[in-house]
Amino acid sequence: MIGNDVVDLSDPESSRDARHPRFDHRVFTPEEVRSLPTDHSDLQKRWILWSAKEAAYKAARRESAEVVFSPTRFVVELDRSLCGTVRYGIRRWPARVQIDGDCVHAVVSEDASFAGILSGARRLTSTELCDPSEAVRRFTLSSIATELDLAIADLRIEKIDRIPQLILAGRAVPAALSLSHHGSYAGFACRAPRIGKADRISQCVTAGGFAHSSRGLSHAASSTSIAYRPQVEQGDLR
Amino acid sequence: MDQTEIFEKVVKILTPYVKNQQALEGVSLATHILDDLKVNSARLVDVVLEFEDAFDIEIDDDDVDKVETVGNAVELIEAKIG
Repeated sequence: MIGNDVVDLSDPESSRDARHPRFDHRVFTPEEVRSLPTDHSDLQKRWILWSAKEAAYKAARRESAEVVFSPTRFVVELDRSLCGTVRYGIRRWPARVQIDGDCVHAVVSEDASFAGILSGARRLTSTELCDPSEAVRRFTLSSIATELDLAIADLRIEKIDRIPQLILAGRAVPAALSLSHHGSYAGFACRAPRIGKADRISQCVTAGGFAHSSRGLSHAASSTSIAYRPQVEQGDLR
Repeated sequence: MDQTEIFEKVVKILTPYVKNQQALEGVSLATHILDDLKVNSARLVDVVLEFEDAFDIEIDDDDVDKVETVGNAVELIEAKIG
């Protein structure tokens, strides 16, 4: 299972003043609270932690509808490169957070190598901001279509039980998909199967699943993905 | 405090966090807080904390998880304040 979350640091919602005074203690463990710096860099670290928790929650919800979003129960442990894990009870998801300017994008996966995971985040245009939910779908579908060499017209995303589902040629594809948008940014993560142009429909119908890509899917989603460029000294979030 | 008063107070607390003003204009007990009002999940934490302050109650995460609509919030608060 996978999950992702994006946070726009420049959005007024992300500012210090926008938070309730008890926010930190409500969502972070005591150790996480202690890890928050007291200088200007606290904003970025706060949302790094939050995005990792949210991404892990999305992954957890795919495994069980019984999972409760209790942020303090999702314990984030990241190293200086913003790679690490998110724990929820005995469950542990590999996690990595990438930062590009004001964009914080967290992805969690079952596999620490993140092999086969296509993900990305980018700034939305002013036109796209009129309907960010649609924009994140278009961005995701475009990235998947490019990566898998498919026609975007054959793809769409539907939500089933509040979980996004990739639909190819009218049929659900067994691909794990996670969408997110906040402020001016949209992000996604997808564990996508390889789907050849010639066999995509027959496989979809008959195989009940697809072979994973032998070439693998890069973490970077073509030109729209974010690159890892830490903007501040990250410190140790553990 | 009756249900109507709780509803009005809940809507007042939610209002600054709502991104879909059209949905807010037609808000009802059936209105979905995240899907219809487009309240951000992180801001939902702030909303819950404001509920706690405004109604002098404590709301744990298990309670929050059951709140999807404005009506769910009203019912939860109504039960808490007894």
